[in-house]
Amino acid sequence: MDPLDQAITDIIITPLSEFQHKTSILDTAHNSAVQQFSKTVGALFTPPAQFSGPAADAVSSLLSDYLQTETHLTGHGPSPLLTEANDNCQFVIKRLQYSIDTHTLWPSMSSHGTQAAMIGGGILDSTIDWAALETLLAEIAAGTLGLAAGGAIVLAGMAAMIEQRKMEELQDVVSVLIALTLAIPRISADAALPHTPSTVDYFAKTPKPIGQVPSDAELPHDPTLTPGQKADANELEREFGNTIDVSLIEYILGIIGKNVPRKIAQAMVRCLYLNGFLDAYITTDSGRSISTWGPFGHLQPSDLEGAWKDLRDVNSHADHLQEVDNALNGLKNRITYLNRMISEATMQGNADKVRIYTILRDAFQKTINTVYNLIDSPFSPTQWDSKGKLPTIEEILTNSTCANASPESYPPPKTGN
Amino acid sequence: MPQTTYRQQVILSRALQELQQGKIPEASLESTLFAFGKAGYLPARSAIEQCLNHPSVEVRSTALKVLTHAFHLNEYGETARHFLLDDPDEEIRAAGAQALADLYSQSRDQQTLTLLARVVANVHEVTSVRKAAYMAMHAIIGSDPRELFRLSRRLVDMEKDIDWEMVNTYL
Repeated sequence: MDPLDQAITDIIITPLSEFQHKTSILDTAHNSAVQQFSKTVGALFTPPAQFSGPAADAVSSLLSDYLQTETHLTGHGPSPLLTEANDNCQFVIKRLQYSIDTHTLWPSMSSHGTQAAMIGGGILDSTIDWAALETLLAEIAAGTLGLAAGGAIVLAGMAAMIEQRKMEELQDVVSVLIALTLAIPRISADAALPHTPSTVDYFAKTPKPIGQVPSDAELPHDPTLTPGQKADANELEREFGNTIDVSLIEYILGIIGKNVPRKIAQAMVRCLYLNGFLDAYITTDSGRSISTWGPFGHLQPSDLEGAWKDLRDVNSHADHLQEVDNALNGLKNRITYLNRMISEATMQGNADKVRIYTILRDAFQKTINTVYNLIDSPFSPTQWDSKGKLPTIEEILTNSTCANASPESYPPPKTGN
Repeated sequence: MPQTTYRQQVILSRALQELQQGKIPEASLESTLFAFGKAGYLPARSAIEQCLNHPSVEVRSTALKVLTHAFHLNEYGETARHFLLDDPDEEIRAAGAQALADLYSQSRDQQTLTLLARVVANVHEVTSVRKAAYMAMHAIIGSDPRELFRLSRRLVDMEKDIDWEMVNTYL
């Protein structure tokens, strides 16, 4: 076996498998213990037990809070966070194993569409995603883009690229481990102490002096997805017949995936698609169809951060401001067209379309207001509570009832096997 | 030109070769042009110029953006005017106005201001293009990008919010 593959097997795959196995047992044990605890303490407050009075009420209230949080986090069987962590472990293990077994070039984490989105962050951004551009060229050379395979190019530095891929894979594994280490304390901490922001927190927050705000971007440009979420995005893209840009699916998963388990997030995206929110196209005056979601590529947290800094001269150039302004104008244009589409659908008596277009329009308007509020905020971008996350998706989910989508109501299509 | 390493130059050179051979899929064309623009990779100029005739609106407008904003090549002023006045697609016409702003920013070029003022005053033109032309006028007159952003934000009603006195000066 290749020494690097051997090292990956010994240092990562084997311990990760062991860790996954033990975590699963631990999770089941935790779930049973909570259920047992609920029954035991519940008995204290039900006849014939005589535990009553103000102290009993206070204890009852605290226990109720605790159990509610537990139910929220682990009430439907094993903890969703740990289930996701387990899924991630399994995904990484299988992929690493496959790569070692087949001795193939390590598969890319993201589809070609994602890479294109990664490259195309915008002309005004300061960096180029060299790795993504290189991958595109490699795919062309390998003929995997469905183009003529003739004239295959021998890529200079191919060996270096393979090494880089392996390093990226290792980084993925490390992020999974970090996710695991974060997931466990989060469950216990949340369960033990349901937290709501206090007034002390609010008044303790003061705007950072401009001189202390670094000019480099601190907020992310692309959604930070786990390997599992990236795989989900690619799977959903295939499921939707490649009609929806994977970067849009990743954008949505990047927003909702932080708060809900993967399977529920997938169901929500499926619900949005099946209800016509993702493939809503707008026909312009020139008769061309444009994607409803186009401007969002330039409203990423790092773009908003750049615009905030441009307005305050933290950056030497004001390019982000122009980019965000263009995106906002794009959204405003879409609102104009959506208003027209709402009128037309109303005239046709098409209530479904009226509902979809109205939800989109209202969410876009709220997005525009949020962007302006963030850019006007006296607080610097890293102090923003939302960290530059826009409310669009959550608005649409809530108003469309897709926020309640479950894997049972929106299951993945049957494969026929 | 932004500094690129030898390795990055190799990547750009390969990407250019693929572009010239028509091997870059349409979905990646825009992002590849962006990459040339960000890197300030002038050897790609001719290939980017070819993209000005591409059937995709996004590719055409990106090509113009790279040539005018990133490369700042004044030779494409005529193309920008042509885009602004003659293209059937409103996005391309707006891109034409923005390209003129990129090329003639703070120059107070009278000829371009007159052209843009006519577009602003044209009630048969769609709002997004008139607005882009108005913003371009301000950029050419010399407004700071921060002022432009504030101006754009306030610009809701074309008839009420526009400084017609300024526009009429150039008609």
